[in-house]
Amino acid sequence: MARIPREAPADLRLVESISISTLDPASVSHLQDIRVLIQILEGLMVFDPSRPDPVPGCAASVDVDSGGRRYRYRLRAEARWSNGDPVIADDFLFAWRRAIEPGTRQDYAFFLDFVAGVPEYVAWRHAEISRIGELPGASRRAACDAHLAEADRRFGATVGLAAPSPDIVEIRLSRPVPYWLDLMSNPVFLPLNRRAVEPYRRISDTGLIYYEPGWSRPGRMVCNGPYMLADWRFKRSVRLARNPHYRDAGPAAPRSVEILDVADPNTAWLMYAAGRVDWLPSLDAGFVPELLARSDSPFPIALNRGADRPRRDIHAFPCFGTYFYSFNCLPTRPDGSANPFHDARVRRAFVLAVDAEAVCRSVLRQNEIPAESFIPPDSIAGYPRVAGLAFDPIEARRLLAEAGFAEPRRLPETVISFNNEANHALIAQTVAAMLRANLGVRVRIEGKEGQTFADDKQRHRFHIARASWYGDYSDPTTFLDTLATGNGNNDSGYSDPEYDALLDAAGRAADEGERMRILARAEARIVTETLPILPLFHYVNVYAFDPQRVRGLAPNVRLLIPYKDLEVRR
Amino acid sequence: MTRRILVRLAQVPLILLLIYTAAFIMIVAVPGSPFQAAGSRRLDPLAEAALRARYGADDNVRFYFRYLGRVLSGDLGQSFQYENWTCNEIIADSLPASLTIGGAAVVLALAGGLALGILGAVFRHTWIDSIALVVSVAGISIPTFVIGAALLVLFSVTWPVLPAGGWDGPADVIRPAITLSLVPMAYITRLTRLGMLDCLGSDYIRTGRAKGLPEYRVILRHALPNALLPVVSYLGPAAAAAMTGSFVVERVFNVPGLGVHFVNGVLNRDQMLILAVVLVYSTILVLFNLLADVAVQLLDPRLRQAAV
Repeated sequence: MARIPREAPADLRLVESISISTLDPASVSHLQDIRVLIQILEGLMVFDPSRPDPVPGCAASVDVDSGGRRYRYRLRAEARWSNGDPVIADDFLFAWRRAIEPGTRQDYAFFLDFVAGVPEYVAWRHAEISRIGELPGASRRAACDAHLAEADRRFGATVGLAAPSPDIVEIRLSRPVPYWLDLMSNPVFLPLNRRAVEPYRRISDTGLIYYEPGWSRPGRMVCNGPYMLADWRFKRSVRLARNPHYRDAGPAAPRSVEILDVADPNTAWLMYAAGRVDWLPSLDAGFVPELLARSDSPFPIALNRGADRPRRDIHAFPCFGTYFYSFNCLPTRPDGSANPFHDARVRRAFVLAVDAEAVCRSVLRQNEIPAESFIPPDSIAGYPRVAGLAFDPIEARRLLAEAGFAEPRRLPETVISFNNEANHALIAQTVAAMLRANLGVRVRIEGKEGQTFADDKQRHRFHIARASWYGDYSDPTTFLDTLATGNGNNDSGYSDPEYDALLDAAGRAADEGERMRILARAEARIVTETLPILPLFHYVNVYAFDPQRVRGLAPNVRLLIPYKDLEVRR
Repeated sequence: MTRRILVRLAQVPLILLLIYTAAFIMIVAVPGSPFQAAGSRRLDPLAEAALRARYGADDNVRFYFRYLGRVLSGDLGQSFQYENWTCNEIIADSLPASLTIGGAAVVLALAGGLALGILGAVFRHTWIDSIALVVSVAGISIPTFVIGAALLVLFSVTWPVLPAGGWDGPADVIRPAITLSLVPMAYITRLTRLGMLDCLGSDYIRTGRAKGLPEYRVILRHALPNALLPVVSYLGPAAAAAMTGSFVVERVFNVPGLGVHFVNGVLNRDQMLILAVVLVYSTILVLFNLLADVAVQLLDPRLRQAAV
C-alpha cells in the first residue's frame, strides 16, 4: 500500500464525523468546515465562546455612525498573512466581492445583502449574464469584456464596500442592522489573500466568474489566522500548524492540531478510548445515554451532573438548535384536497396533544431539552424566555372539535414524513402514537431518502415534516425570519401578516430592548397562537474529553472553539 | 483465441457508454439538487442556476455530451460537494486504499476458499468438511459490520495490538482485508467443494487412480483445474467488487476508500462524482470479467480446442 510518512502526533487531536468538504469561505456552510476555517482565517470580528458578543479580530477598532448604517474598521498594523504579506483592506473587499458573485455565491452570501447596493448589483449581474448567454457565441467575448469593465465601475460606485486606505475597511448598510457585528463573525466575511487566490480565477464566455480548485490546498492556501493549513488528506485528516506570522497565539496554545475524519461513531469512540484522540467534539452514538447516566461533568452548565458517578469526561450541554415538525399551512394539500392544517386550531390541537417531555425522557435520553419555543431558551443575551404551549390533551380535543372535527377520525389521514436518518423514525413513531392516543386522529409515518425529502419539503409536498434549525448568529431573527412570508426556508408556507408586521416593526425599533420585546411577541405568536411548527426539543451536544488533559474547553451553544485557547497536557 | 479477446475488447467502450447513459438518466431523473444540502439553508434559485451554469450542468443534453468529452480526455470532472477537489483527485486518492484492501481480501479469499473447498471435498462427510461448511455459512450470513466491529474491539481494546481505525501503515490493512474476504471466501469454498466432488466422481479420475497415479496428483493436477472453472468465473466480478471498495468496511475501519463515494455521492446528488465513480467501477468490472473469461478459456481444454 501507499505508505504515508507519519509525522509526530499533533498536540491536539480531535475527530470530525463528517468530512471536511470545503475551506472556501464563500461556500462553507457545514459546521465541521467552519470549525476548521475559523482557525486559519481571521475576520474583522471573531466569535469568542466566553463572551456573548464577538470581539475584534483582525480589526483593531471599529467605529459605527450614521445611525448604525456605517461601519469603519481599522485593521491591526501587525496583521499578517502566513506568507508574510500584511493583511490589507483590499483582501476583505476581494473576498466579499467574490462571495456575492453569481457562480460562487452560496448559502450565506445573503448576509452581504444588508450592504447598500449589493442586492441591486447582484441582480444586475444575473441579468447581464443571461443576456450575454443569449448572444451568438462569436459576439459573447466582446460583450462579456464590456460588461465586466462596467461591473468593476458599478461595484466601486454603487456598492457600500470601500477601502479608503490600506488599513481601513468601510461598510455602508442599506438599513441599520443591530446584530451586524455578530453577523460579521460568519465565515462569509473572512478575508482572502488576493495574490494567492486570483490566479485560480476563470471567467466563462457569459461573464460568470468562478475559481478552479487548488488555492485552498496545503502549501498554497495563504492564511491569516492563528493556524495555517499544514496538510489536508482528503477524507482522512486535516492538520493545522501554528501560523508564525500570527500576533499572539499564547504560549500554551497547541502547536499543531490534527482533525481526523471518522464517520463511524463507534470507531471514533474506540479511538478516544484507546487514547488516539484527545477530544470528540460531537459524540453521537447509541450508547451515549448509558455513558451520560454514569457521568459527572465539571462543566458549569452541564446537563449531566450527579454524585457517585465515576466518569468526568462526558459533557452534555445545550446548543443553538431546535428539532421541530413543520405543518404544511397552505390552503390545499399536495393532492389538491382541503388542508385541515390551514386552520390554526387544528395545528394547535396537534401541538397540545404531543408530550415533548416524554419524547425526551423515553426516546432520546441524551438530556435533550423539551421544547415549547422555537428559539432555544437563554441562548441569546438580552432576549427573554418565551413560553409556549404545555401538553394538554383535553384542550387539544376541544380545539379539534371547535375546528369542526368533533369526530376526530373524520380528519383526513395525516402523514408525518422524515428523512431516513438518525433516530427520526423513532421520534415520528412516538409522536404518531401520541396523536392517535390523545386526539384519536389517523396518523401514518413515512421515511424518505434525505435529498428526496428535502425536495418534497421545499415544494410543500407534505402534511407534517420533520425539521430542524440551527441559529447562524446570536439574534432571534436567525430563527424567526425563516417563518416570514416568502422566506426561502419557510417550508411550512406559513404566511401571517401580523407576524410579518411584528418582524418589520422590530427592524425599525428605536432601541435594542424594544426590538427584543417585539421579537419575543412575534415568537410568542407562533408558539402559542398560530403554531406553524410543533417544537419538540432543543439539541444538546456531547463532548468527550478528559478535563485533566484538555484544558480551556467550555460549553458553547454555537459549537465553535478557537483551538489556540486550549491547552493539552500529556 | 486472440481474435475473440480483441472482439471482447472492442465491446468494452460500447458497454461503458451504455452504463454511462443509464447512470446519467437515473441521476438527472431523481429529485433533489446537488447545490441544496439537505437540511441546511436554501440557496436562492438564481444563484443555483448560476452554479449549474458554472459546472455546465444547466442543460442535461449538453451536460451529457460535454461530460462524455471530458471523460474521453481523461478528466472525470469536478465534484459539486467537495468543490475544492476534482473527481480525478478524489479517485486517485481513494482507489489505492480500496485496491490494497480488495487485493489482499481476494488473495485471502482464494487461499482460504480453495484450501477449505478441496479439503471439504476430499474428506467429504468428515469433521474437516463440517469446518468448511461452518466457515462458508458463517461468512455469508454474519454481516460485515458485526465482524468488523468485533475485530476492532478485540484487537484494539481487549488486546490492543493494532491501531484503532485509520490508514497509516500495513497493519491497517489486516482487519479490513479479513472482513472483506469472508463473503468471497465462503463462495469460493462452496464452489470449489462442489466442483471437486463433481470431478472426483468422474470417469477420468477413476482411470487416473487405476493407472496408479499418486492421490495428490489426481487431486491437484487432474481434478482441481476442472473444478476451478466456476471459481474463476466468479472471481472476475468478485474481485472487481472487492477492489472498488466497501462502504461498510471502510466506515467501520475508517479507511479512506472509494466505497463511501458511491453512497455519499448519491446521497448528496453529486452528479459528476457519481458518474466518475460509476465509470471507474464499471471499467474495472468489465476488465475483470474479460480477464476471468480469458482465464476460463485457457483452463478449459474444450474451449481451448474450440478457439484454436
